[in-house]
Parts: sequence; C-alpha cells; structure tokens
Amino acid sequence: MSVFAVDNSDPTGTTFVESPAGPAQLIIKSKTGTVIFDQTNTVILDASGKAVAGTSFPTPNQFKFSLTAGKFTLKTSYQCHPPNSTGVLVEDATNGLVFDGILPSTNSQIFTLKA
Amino acid sequence: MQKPEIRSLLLLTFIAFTPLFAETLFGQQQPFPTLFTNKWCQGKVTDAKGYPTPIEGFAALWKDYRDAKNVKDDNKARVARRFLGYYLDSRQQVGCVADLILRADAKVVSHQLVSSMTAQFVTAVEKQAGSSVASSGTTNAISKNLTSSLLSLANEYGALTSSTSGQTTTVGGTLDQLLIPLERSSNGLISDCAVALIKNATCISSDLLGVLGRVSYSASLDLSQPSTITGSATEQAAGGAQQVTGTQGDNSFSLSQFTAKVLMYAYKPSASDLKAESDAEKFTPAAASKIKELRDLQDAVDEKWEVWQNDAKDALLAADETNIAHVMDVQTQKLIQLLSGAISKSNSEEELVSIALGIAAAEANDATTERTVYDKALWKKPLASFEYDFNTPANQPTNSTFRLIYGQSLNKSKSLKITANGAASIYDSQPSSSIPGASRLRDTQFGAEGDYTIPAVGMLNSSLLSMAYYFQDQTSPAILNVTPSSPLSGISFTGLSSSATQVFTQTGHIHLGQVKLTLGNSSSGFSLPISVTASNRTELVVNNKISIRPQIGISYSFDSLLSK
Repeated sequence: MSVFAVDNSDPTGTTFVESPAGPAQLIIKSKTGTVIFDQTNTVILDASGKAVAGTSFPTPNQFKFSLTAGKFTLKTSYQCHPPNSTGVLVEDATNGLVFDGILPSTNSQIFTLKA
Repeated sequence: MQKPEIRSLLLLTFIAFTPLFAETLFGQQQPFPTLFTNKWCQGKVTDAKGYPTPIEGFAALWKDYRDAKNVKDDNKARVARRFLGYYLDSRQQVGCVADLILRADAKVVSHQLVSSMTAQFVTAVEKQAGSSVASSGTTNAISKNLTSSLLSLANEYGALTSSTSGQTTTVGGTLDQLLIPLERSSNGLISDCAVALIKNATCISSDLLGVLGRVSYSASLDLSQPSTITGSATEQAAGGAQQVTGTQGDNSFSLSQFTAKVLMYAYKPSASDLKAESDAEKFTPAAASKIKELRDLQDAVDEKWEVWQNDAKDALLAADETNIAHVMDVQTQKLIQLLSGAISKSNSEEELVSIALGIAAAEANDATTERTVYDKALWKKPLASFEYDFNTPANQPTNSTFRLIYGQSLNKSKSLKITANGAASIYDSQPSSSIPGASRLRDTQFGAEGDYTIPAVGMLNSSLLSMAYYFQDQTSPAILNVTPSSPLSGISFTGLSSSATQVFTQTGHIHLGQVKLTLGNSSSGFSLPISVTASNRTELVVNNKISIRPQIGISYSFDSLLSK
C-alpha cells in the first residue's frame, strides 16, 4: 500500500511523494455541505503534459489513479453544493495525508506528485 | 408604458447610481482591520482539533503556528506554516489571492467596476431571447407590461421556469432563484457571501439563500384576454378611404392559480444526487479561464514568486496582532508589483485588477449554478412539505387549499415510493346564505399513491406502475357563477331561472381510484401511459353508479433529440 508524504524540498509545500509508486486514491471529506470533484477538469498529467490513462471516480468525491516512477501534475477541480460548502482533500487511507482545504472560492488546485 | 421606455428607465437609473455606489464602497483602500476577527478566506469550520487543517482560516493557522512554537512543537508549526502558505498561492487558493489584489487596489477596482457593470447591465436589460413580443409565435413566457418584462428577464437567466399550455402560462421556481438576474448581471458585486471576493460589496447570506431555496412558487396566468387596437382618424376621408393611426392596447392576463410550497423536511441530497443534477444542468465551473490568467502570471515569475511567498510567510508569522494588518498590506503590494511585472501592457496594475475582478464575477456566477443544482436535488426528495394553493377557477368563487404532503421511499433500492397528502379547502369569502349547507369550509381531501419502478425489460428501462386513491368530503356544495344569457363554455343548463346568478351541486363523498402503467424509455424520451380510473362522482356530476374511464396516451420528449 503506497502512502504520500510532503516533499520538504519544495518550499511551497505543494509537492507530494508517493512511495512506493502504484495505485492511489484521493477523497474529498466534506466539512459543511457537499464538495464533489468536477470530473471533466480533474486530471493527472505526466511530465510531457499528457493525461495519465486509467483514472476513475469510484464515487463523486473519490479520485483513483495509479502512478509509475516519475513526476506528475495533479489538477483538481471542485463543485460545492450548496456554494458555501467546504471540505478537505485527503489521501484515501487511514490517517491519510491532508493535501489541501477546499473553500467555496477555491475552484481548482494544482499539485505536483512524485513517485 | 412601452417596454423600450422601461428598459431605458432602468438603464438610466442604474448608470446614475452605479458610480456613486462603487465610489462609496471602494473610494478608499480596504485594509485588513478585521484580519483576526473576520473571515478572510476562512472555511466555516468550528470543529478543528489537534493539528491544523487548511480550511481553519488564515487567523486560526497563524495562531496555531505561534502556539506550536511556544510549546516547541516544530512538526505542528511546520504544518500550520505550509497551510498558511496556500492562502498566498493562486494554484491552491485562487479566490484568496484574487481577494488580496482587490482589497489592495480599491481605487482601480472602483473604476473598473463602474465600466464593466454598466456594460453588463446594458447587455442584460437589452437581452430578450426568443422571438419578439409582437410575433404571434413568441416563445417568451410573458412579455407584457413592466412586471412581465422583468419576469421575462428572470426567465432568460434561468431564475424561473415557464411552461405554456393553451392560453395558460405557468411560471415557477424557488425564491432564491429570483436573485439570479441580479447576481449574473452584477459582475460579482452582488453574490452569495460564500464567494464574495469584492469586500464590502453586497453579499447575500448563504443561510438566507438556503431558507429561500426551500420555498417554491408557481403562478398560472391566463393570457386569453386579447389586446385591442384603437384607431383614430388623422386625415379627412378621400374617395372612400381614410388614414388612421393605430394604438396597441396593453395585453392583460389574469391569475388563475398561485401555489406556494414550503419544504418542511427533506433528505440532504447525496453526493451522487448532486452529481446527477449537475450533469443534468450541464454545469462546468466557468471560472477556469479567468483563474488560468492569474496562474499564468504566477508561473511567469515562478522563482521570484516562491521567494516572495517564503518572505511573506516569515513576515506574517513574525508579526504580532498589532501590526499584522500592516505587514499584510506591505506583502500584498509586493505581490501586486510582482504579478503586474509579468504583464507587458503599460496599465499592468489595472490589468491585474481586471483579472481578479473576472475571477470574482466568474466565481459568483458559478455559485448561482451550484445553488440551482442543490435546489433541484433537494426538491427531488421531499419528505414533508406544506402547500398553499390560491385558486381562481373560471366561473367559480375563489378558494384556498392548505395541503400537507408526505413522501418516502419504502425500500433501500428506492423502487417503491409512497406519497400521501391531506388538505382542506375553503372559500375565500362567505358563500351566499341562499345556498343550503354552504359554509367557508368547501371540502377536505385525502390522497395516497404508491409508485413502483419496474425493472428494465429490453428497451423499456423507465417504466412505472402507480396505484392511487383519492377521497374528498364535499362539505359545502360546489358553486358555479352563471349568467343565464351567457352560458358557460362546455356546460349547459335547462330550466334555469333567468334571475339565477349562482348554481350549486350536491354535497357528499367523492371516491376515486386509479391504476396507471407507464411504459417508457429514458434515452429516447418516449413514454406510453395507460390508466384506468374509477369514481363514484365528481364535484359537478353525481352518478348513481361507478364510472370507469380508461385512458391511453403517448408522450415524447423532443429534448432527447438534442442531447447526446
């Protein structure tokens, strides 16, 4: 089972390292209201900017993907229903790493993933 | 008054007040006087315990950091610092960064708002989809008089839904949706408070909008009254012909029914319900392109921006409560200089504000759609609701019906659902004392229906079997207003006294039962309802035997031709 950790070499704190490389799943834990992925705009790009195949959304608030060795860009996009909904993007595992918070004005986020 | 005059009046009023409004709000810089008491980029989270969470808000994270430092918990301090940095990063919290820019450049914001709002409002007021009101085949719901023009505008913005059957048009929606035209045409200056990035602008409480979203209305308007053209001669007759000038009279309509419904209790829509409704609404956040513009600027100065973010975090975390607002102002000015430097135009700062305003407007716009999606999902599964109907049927006294409705799925797969309702109907005025047995209480009603979703068989994947029973205790006779010299359409009387102005029927119990099978295919929009209805009488027609009426129909949704 792979887990994520913050890459402390990135001063912005937005790079996460998966170890070992393999399947992973993110989940949005809604705090107020309901936050779901905007599926058309949530994607993982490889180093060449090409979308990684095989990603899926098991539920509207889960995003499943699998990484091979390398560097990737994770672009997420959200919908808040109702619009004052908030949530947290978390690695879908026990004590999973918190990636970031989702506020009503967040709209979308960009992270760097390394595996 | 003719419609163009109304539009001009609205436009002139708007243009006259907008500069004053905007200057009042943004004439001075908006610093951070409430950085620690208010909610700058703060999620509504009160249950945060232990380690910091990234939606606690800037102030809470700042305090978390300092507390952690005091107890030498470096790990916790590092987490708080990381999350705090997200508020300064357009790739993470773009709304917060746009908010910083708009706070700092208040004067530029003011001027840009005046011009952009005016342009937007002109477009909004002048917009009228569908054919013109003058054409007989107009698709606009209502296009008459002031009220109708505003309703039409609301209709174009999706603030209400409308349908037309014969000469009756029904408009309806939820109360919060009526604010959509204001929100959509204000470029973010009027928005849900949850996404209000332009501080001190008008924002509407999310909680209030939530309450308004639980109240729906529906009004049926009878448009059968034709307008008249009045002609007056302008010249002397010559050779049997004469010129006239015609004046189009105002059309009129009458309210035939008004219904208000309050959702008393409903299941919270699940994430799947919301996803399905979002797909049906074809919703994709529109803010993406505007956000990309800001992120591109950050990307263009990436290394310098990283240095700035690091310095800003250090400066903010080193500040105390007395000077944090000043530190934030200083850091924001540095950010604006940095990002403006990536814009090649001479008015780069104005351009940066324009991008931030675009994000504010797009986010506000997206929020209205998100609210619509939520409303629709909420109304799909009402458990209990209260309904008030104001009825003004033709040739009958007006009456009001008060109804309680309850509906629930009976099994986990939700294929079996029951709906029950009880109602009382009253005449809105005391009936004539010359009608025996007449009282204000017109009738009481009870109805129950069971619906079973039939598993798919071949192409029939949307079929339903329904059984319904309805009981009405007609405690007061049904009354018809009549004029003997002018008979009612579809009803004729024999032996009616020439002085009679009202006729009435018998009181008693009405029982009605119905079995209906609807065979349908969801992808094609085709459905074939087949029903058998049995009843002992109606309000007007009293039978001595049970009447059984079979019916069969065909329904086809042409929308399916246009969808994928």
